[in-house]
Amino acid sequence: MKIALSILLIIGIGFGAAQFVRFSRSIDFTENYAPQQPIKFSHKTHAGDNQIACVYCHYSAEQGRHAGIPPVGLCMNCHTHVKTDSPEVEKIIKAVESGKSIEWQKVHHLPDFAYFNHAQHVNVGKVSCQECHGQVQTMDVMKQTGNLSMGWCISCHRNSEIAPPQDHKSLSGGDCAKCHY
Amino acid sequence: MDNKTNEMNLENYWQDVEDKDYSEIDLKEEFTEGTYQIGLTKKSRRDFLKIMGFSLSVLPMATSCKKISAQKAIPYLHKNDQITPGVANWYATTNSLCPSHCSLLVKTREGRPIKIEGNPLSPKSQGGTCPVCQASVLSLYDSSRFKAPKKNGQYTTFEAIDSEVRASLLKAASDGKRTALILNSVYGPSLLNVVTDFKNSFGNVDVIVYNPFGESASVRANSLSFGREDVFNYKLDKAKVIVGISSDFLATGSDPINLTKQYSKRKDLFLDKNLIRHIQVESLMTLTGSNADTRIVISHDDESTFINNLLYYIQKATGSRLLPVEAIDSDMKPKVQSVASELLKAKGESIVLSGSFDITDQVKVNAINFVLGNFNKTITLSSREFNRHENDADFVKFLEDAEGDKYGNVIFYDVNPYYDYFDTARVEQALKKIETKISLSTAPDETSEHSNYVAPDRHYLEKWDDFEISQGVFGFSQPVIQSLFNNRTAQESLLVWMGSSTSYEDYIKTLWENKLLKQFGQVGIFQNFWNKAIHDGIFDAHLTPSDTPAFKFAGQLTNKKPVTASLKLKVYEKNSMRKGKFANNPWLQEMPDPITKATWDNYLMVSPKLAKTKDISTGDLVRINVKGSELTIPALVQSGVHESVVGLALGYGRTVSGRAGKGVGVNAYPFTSFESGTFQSGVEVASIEKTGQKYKLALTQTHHSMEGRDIVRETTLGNYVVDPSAGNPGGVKLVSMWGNHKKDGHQWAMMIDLNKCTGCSGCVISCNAENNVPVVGKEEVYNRREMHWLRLDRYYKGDDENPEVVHQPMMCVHCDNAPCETVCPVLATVQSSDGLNQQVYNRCVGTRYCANNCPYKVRRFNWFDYAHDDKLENMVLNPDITVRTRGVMEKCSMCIQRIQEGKLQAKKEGRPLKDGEIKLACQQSCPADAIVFGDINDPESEISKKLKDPRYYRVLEELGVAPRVGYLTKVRNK
Repeated sequence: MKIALSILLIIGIGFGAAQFVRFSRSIDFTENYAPQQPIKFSHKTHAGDNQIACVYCHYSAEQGRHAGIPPVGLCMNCHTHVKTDSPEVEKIIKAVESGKSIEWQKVHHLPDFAYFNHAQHVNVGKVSCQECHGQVQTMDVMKQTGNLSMGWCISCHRNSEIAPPQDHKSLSGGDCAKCHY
Repeated sequence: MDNKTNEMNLENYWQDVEDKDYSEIDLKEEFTEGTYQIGLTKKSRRDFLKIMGFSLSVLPMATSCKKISAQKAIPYLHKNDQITPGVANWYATTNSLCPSHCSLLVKTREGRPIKIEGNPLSPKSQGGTCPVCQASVLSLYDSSRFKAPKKNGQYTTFEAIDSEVRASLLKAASDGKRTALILNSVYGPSLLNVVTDFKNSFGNVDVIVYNPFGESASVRANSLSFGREDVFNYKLDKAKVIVGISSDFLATGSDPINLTKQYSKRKDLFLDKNLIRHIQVESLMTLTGSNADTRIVISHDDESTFINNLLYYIQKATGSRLLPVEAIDSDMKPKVQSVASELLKAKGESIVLSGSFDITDQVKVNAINFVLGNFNKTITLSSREFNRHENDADFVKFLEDAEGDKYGNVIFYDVNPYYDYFDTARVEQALKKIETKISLSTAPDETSEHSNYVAPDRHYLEKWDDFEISQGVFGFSQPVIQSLFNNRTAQESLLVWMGSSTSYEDYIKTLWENKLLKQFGQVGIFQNFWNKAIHDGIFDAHLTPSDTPAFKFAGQLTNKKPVTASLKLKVYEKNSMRKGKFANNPWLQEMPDPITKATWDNYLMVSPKLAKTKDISTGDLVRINVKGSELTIPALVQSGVHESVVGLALGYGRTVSGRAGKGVGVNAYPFTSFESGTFQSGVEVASIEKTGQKYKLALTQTHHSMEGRDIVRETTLGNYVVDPSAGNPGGVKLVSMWGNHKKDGHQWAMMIDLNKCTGCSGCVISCNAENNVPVVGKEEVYNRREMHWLRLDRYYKGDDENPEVVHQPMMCVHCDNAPCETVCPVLATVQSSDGLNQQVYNRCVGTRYCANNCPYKVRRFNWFDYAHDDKLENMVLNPDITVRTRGVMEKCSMCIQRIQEGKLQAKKEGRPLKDGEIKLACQQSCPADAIVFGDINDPESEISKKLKDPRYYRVLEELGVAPRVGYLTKVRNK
């Protein structure tokens, strides 16, 4: 009886511990996060149906750390002519006229201790946007695809077969301080 | 270990007078009990359990709530074609805060300045910066700055005060009263023009240039000697012998960065084996003195005698009778004669500099340099048309006139006489009679507190300006951020009050377009000139320097009577706090003084001999009686100080300032005086005695001594010429228990030339700014919890009364076989493939084993979440660097973000990385170019070549940890 109880207890603790580890690993991972945005902007309409290149709006993805959210004025490049009567487009026009920018809900979060540079991947590594962000051109509401965990980053770095450029020896998969500083 | 190394160890280095005898090192001091307290109050075991229980129950709740933390992303309304999110922009500007006006490059991210670097295009600072320049970016985000103009202490608007101020200025003119415009030294053509216009438009304005302990004495002396009110340009790089007499020219003064650049070139054994010979004669230990090859310690009173006798012997030897001087009897005769004979051997290739505030002394120094034929060779009078230098006597005369009720208005621009005049009671009394007092200060100070109106000036990063930094060389300032508060450029305020509506930017442009360009023979389109000048930050008119006229002194020399056998209190300037303007800058407050290693305080610098007779030790509170008033102040025993002098730093004891500067230390200005036309340092101390009380001085360097190991290695030039490896025995044969790391790709390494490093500590502040190093405050520095990633160790050798000094920058040396890595239970510190020791904050659980196991004591632990409560101050944070939280270890990362950025840039352009492309923060700011960084796998890199030098060594090599940071031995020319 005592032995059976002990075994049960050990299994119980083990199960609890495993649950705890699983739970704590999922903290702050926000896969499939698709918050409601102030404007019903559809990537499917823009990038999918109308074939607008991603970097037309997210122009700093090739140059800098952030891909960025396009300035409201950039929307107006097209929307001064296109669908000017849509209530969603009116929100943009209103923002431009009032001088108060749109407050989007941020979808992809990286913690302060992880450094990610879009230019490094988009410009140097020639990684397509979809590889990390999923089939954005089919999404009506923007949704986070990968879980953005470290394991998720590393798995790609370990498996990719991109030749390291010039004198730079590796795809920097192994060194902590390539991302953490 | 090799026997030769053991022999070296016999050289007895030590760090602090009280640590000299190793057997007496107080272990209690080294391992203070207080170090392990958390917070200010002790907690009992029961409290601990309560807190523990609470935190455990709260944890799951807190984390589950955090699952999705909604954040907003707000784009720009319209694309700014200059700003790309995540990409830094650099702008050239000029620092207006100190007389050297270093040209700078300002790094801005998303429109906010976050880091300052030297502008390599400047012929003067040549890319170097001092601690003050580095820290000035933090002053921009000083939340104590004036938010708007003030009238009688209440915030108001510019419109409201402008009409009243103008009315008051006009009223004085009609009442037959005068208006005083008191400003700091003028360096720019536009400011000079505004001041002239202001004068002309009212007709009753007196302009008084006020800057105590500045150039007043030397400018007056130059006027007497050469008939020109100019300052000197020194060419240290053309000199063989330099003699500094009480002159701290490498640290303070009007041009420390330019002089350090030149000085270090003459200390570079890769350039020239004939090193400069530097003799320093002084009573206090200065940074410059600590770098001298020979240092002569004399009393404060003897400084004048020394100059007099030096002139006498040099005139005697050359048969010149330029100035009628007689030798004054003194026991310094052999010392003076030896200095004279060295100077006479280097005629036309020597420089004598004096930091004396006495006009007669400065005239004599000019005569010495003239007899030696140094003018137009190593020294020229810099004929700067647009500079106006201070005259101490003018301000004293102004006070007399104010007492005589002559003035109706006074305007203060960049001056603070309510703090830095020696008799502030008199200033207060005299200025009470002036009806309208207007301050143009940027932040509250003692003078703005006494002013009826405050029209706040902008920080130099918010405004336009121009400066003549050398004859015909101009530096330009441009705003790199929109003004943070409702303030206005001081010059613009003056323009408004004289009824003009031009902006200062247009004023500068018009002046250059209509007048100055023609004057300098520039042709072409103005906008092209302007764009280039603003882009470069520098415009060089390439004027041919005018010859220095012959020395012609006609007046009567008034010899100060040598006073002997009395104790003098001498005030001095630190290269962090300078004269008090930067008191509210916590980076500078926490920067350890290069000599005393003290932070957050000034103190009475006492010689070891005096300390012994009066039984004083460091940290004792002493009572001194000066000028009839008593003062209680902590003492600090400092080697190399003359027994008849005690030193006290200027710049402390501010009563009106932001939270970092208020009430730190004591004000030293009351212990100065005005005599023979200038402000003088060195008042008599009637008595000095111990109070028996102790004071907590936050020193960063009492807690480690060299323990007889050859951490610094040095030799003399004579020995070096015979054997370049002299003083650096090397030959440590090591057996490693570790396998070798793979060494392909880039392999980073750093090397520091101890012969060039002056110890100025500019790198410390540069590192602070680059790497988000927190300020911990005095109490925590006292608890040995300072956070600087880079520190400067200062070692003494030899005589207590006059030791030789070595400065050694010390940071994580990035060991190949790092002891910290093997003890980390969570692998939070590991070796990278390019040879760096990485610290991973998100893995660190704070066991501190690594810090315990580090032989170099360079790891820093976050005992607390250091203050980030000031939202404005947080704007200075580098967004590429993690802000570390409580419980995490950190240390030098070799600016990994800069390495990554450099590599990325090369990759983007599809080319290999060039040597020298990546510059670390400390390396970039170093005015002595003492730091070399690069890839040792590149045989053509500077570091690969220099690593082969026989002077190269690594600290504690015998431990077998294989550091990546090495040093070059110091070579003294003696």
